[in-house]
Amino acid sequence: MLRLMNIHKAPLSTIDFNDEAFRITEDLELDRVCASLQAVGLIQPVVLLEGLEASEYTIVCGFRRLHGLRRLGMSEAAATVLPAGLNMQDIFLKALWDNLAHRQLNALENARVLFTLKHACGVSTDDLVRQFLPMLGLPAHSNVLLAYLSLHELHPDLRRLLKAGHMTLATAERLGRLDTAAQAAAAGTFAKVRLSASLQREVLDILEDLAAMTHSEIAGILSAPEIAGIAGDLSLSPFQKGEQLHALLYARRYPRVTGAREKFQAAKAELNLPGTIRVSPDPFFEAPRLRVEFEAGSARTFRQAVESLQTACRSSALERLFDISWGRP
Amino acid sequence: MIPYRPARIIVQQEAHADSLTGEILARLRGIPVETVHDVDLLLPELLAASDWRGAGKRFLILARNKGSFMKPCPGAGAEICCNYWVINYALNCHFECTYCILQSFLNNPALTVYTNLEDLEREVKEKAAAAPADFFRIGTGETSDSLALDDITRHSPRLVRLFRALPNAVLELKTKSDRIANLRELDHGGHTVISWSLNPERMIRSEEFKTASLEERLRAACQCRAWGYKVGFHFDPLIWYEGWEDDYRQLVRELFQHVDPGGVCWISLGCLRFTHDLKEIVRSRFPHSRIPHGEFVPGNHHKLRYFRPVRDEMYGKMRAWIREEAPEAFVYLCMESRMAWERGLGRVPESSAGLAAEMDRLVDKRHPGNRTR
Repeated sequence: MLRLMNIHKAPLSTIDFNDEAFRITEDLELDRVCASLQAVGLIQPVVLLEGLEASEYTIVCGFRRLHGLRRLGMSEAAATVLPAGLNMQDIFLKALWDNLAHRQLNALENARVLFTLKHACGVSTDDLVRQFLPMLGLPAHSNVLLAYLSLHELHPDLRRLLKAGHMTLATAERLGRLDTAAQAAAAGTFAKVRLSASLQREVLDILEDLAAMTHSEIAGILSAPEIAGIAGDLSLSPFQKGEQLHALLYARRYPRVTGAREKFQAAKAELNLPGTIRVSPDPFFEAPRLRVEFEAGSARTFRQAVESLQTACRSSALERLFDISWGRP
Repeated sequence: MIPYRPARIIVQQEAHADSLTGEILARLRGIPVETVHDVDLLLPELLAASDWRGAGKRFLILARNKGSFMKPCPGAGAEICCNYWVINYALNCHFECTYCILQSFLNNPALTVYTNLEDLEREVKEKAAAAPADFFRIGTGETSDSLALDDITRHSPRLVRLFRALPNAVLELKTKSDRIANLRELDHGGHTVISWSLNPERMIRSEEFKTASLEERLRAACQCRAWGYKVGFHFDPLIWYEGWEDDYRQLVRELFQHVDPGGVCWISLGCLRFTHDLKEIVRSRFPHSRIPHGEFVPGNHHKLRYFRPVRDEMYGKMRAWIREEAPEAFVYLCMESRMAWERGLGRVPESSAGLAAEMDRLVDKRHPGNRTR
């Protein structure tokens, strides 16, 4: 049981704002907390830890409130003060429960909690898996712990992308396992392009493959001029950049599949079919079949489409389409 | 080949009733033995190591199989399949083939040997007797290597004798080992085929750790021929890499320098198949493996396969090289589509049943063409 001291009026000048040993909250966005402080003041006292010199305090609970008070020019805060010399884990658990009591932590906050418990509080891996992962609502598995610990090491720019929703948690976890240079390169690229969740996964797969196949670093692959060119192309939207980035990397990883698709597109173009008629091969040319689709809103557009197809029937490019689907040279 | 020597033996209580358990323990004297009621309770310990898939193999579990031993080969889902059967008397293998699919589907990483062989023998006899007009080609190499543990288990003589007495079945022992000593002087009656999975020595050294070298495998095949066994060869998985043509061309030449084509029962070709999970496992366990570098595309049954023109080329060239050395050899594709047959081998069996009938005729002693062999 922790021995609590009375509520004090703690001068903000005596609080070490740089010491974030007990911080859990990832987002210190202050606008809303400042509005609240201005409207109704500090309703709930913050929790501080007394330093070895009684005039210095470390923040345990209330980072946002204290930063808010400082921004508003306040000079002191109502605080419950914990005496110096308490066990680090006991104090951190107080901060943790204070957060868990009223909200669900996000992925980066979970990562921060697990990192602090492991490295600052000395909690064993076994206890982290069995006791703390379930407490955070996570599966009790060592791989989950490893993923979250790597997430805590994430490059600051990648953290921002994750917080902004531009990157999935799975992507962040994978990037968190890469070296710092690779993370920085990925952050630089991903900040300028947008990829769907599935494309994020595919791009990472391809980057890992290419790095292994060419004995190179992911940072080196991402710093290629073509990739920088796509990322910096102002004429493209972020999603268009994402598609082009994926296409470029895919072509390097799968040159034969890409070559077959390009040949198919070239032969299809020779058929001079209108854009309303879609002709597509089996996605990976596994079977020699073509799919032809069109929609018609009237008898006239229907006849036009069929006439275009009849014209295409007389083109030698049609044989080439099937040759390509068969894999014939 | 590096022989198997477990660090610890776990015996399921019930397995002590089987004579095989005592025989195996006698052959492995000096290794710590522990008896347990439920081997599943060991799983947390087996899964604790960072490379639990590799570390788990140091545990040998002797247990009874409470389920069925014999089942249709899972390849039956392919467009053309040879309607093979498998009997599984062991789970896992001490060899470390980088591409081994067992890594991704066995949840117990220990090497398990089933001890109730009498039940296996009874089941095979009953199934064969229940369908006397059918012919059963049955292999034991699905969940383990057929001969890698034979020094310890001595399964092979029992199985050879079992199949000798079955008029409508043939046993195929499929291996990457050279452990054939127990096959010597057995009266197999032509009911057992010994077959080897083959790859160029370069691939054996880089992707098939602990297995017998190519030279050892081919010498073992020669010896089995001398003992009157028919032999088979499986170029499976065929692995694509820069320069594969030279290596595989040489491999086919070497094979037929050692083994006379007339004694070869069948040859299968199968390009490397892969799953997403397995790719991650290979990356983590064998970071120098070139296996994941192929141009894989998604195919049937959630498997990754080489892009079809790559497969076509590999099958077509292998078929041509085999034909140069052994024009009469029976070559088939494993788990492939009609299109791959047509492009790779230039023919398509009319159906899976048609392919199965072709292969049955190669080994069914009741068939007129086989009686004089």
